[in-house]
Amino acid sequence: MLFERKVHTTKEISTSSLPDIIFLLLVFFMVVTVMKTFDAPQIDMPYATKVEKLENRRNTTFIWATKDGFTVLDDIQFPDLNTGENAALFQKKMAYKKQQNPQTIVSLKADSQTKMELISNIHSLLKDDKVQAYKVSYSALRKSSE
Amino acid sequence: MIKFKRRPPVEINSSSMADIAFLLLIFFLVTTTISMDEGINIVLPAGESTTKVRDRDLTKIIVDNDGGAIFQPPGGAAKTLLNANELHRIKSLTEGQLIQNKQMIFSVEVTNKSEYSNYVKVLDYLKQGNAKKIAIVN
Repeated sequence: MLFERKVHTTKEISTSSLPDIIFLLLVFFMVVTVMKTFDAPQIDMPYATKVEKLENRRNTTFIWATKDGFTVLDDIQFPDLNTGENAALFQKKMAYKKQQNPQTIVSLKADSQTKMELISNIHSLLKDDKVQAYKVSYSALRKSSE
Repeated sequence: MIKFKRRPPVEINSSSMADIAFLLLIFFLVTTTISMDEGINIVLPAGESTTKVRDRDLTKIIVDNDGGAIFQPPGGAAKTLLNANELHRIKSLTEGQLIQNKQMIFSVEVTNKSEYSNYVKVLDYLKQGNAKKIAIVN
């Protein structure tokens, strides 16, 4: 009498490498996440409805304008942009940035209570022939439409 | 005869490792907030550029120190005085002007002592009213 032996084979996909793949994904996300931090002054931004997202953060230069009349550009504080020395340094910095990246967009982060005198000053310095940074985004917090 | 017992190999069960890694991944994915910068985009005019604009194509909006505004349509039409709480009317006024003239340019004039939030509000209402051509007067 002939006995047939059944051969037991395990039909399982090995999942032993799954943790490695997941960890690899985790590490990838951790590495590629860029967190940009600034020593920015405390500001209370205005609200607006028709806000647009800034497409590329790499092309963005941030300028802070506080209600006390301080302006901050690249961690340099300008107490008063009316003085020739400060204005010249501000323009020099901005001109360099514009030269490095002609696509530069200025994101103006101003406090709600900042006086328009300072904003107008910044406008004048930006559109000056030495700088020619015409693209400005007035940073605002999104609010639902009324 | 001595029988040897076959001992199963000692292994730490690592089948739950994938679950733990997934859980970590999902935790980071959910809790990571990417702050997107948003704002009202404008393009400043070039330093020396002057463009002649016909009077009938220009609506002036003058923002005063108290946050109110004057909406002055072209052609000697009646101006509208708006107090700080009525700025939202700029949206409908803008739409009205654009129905009459699609080429209308809206010129925003702000006093030096005025607050930035009022300026942003006016720009926002103009954009809500679909104003495409906005001029900033320093």
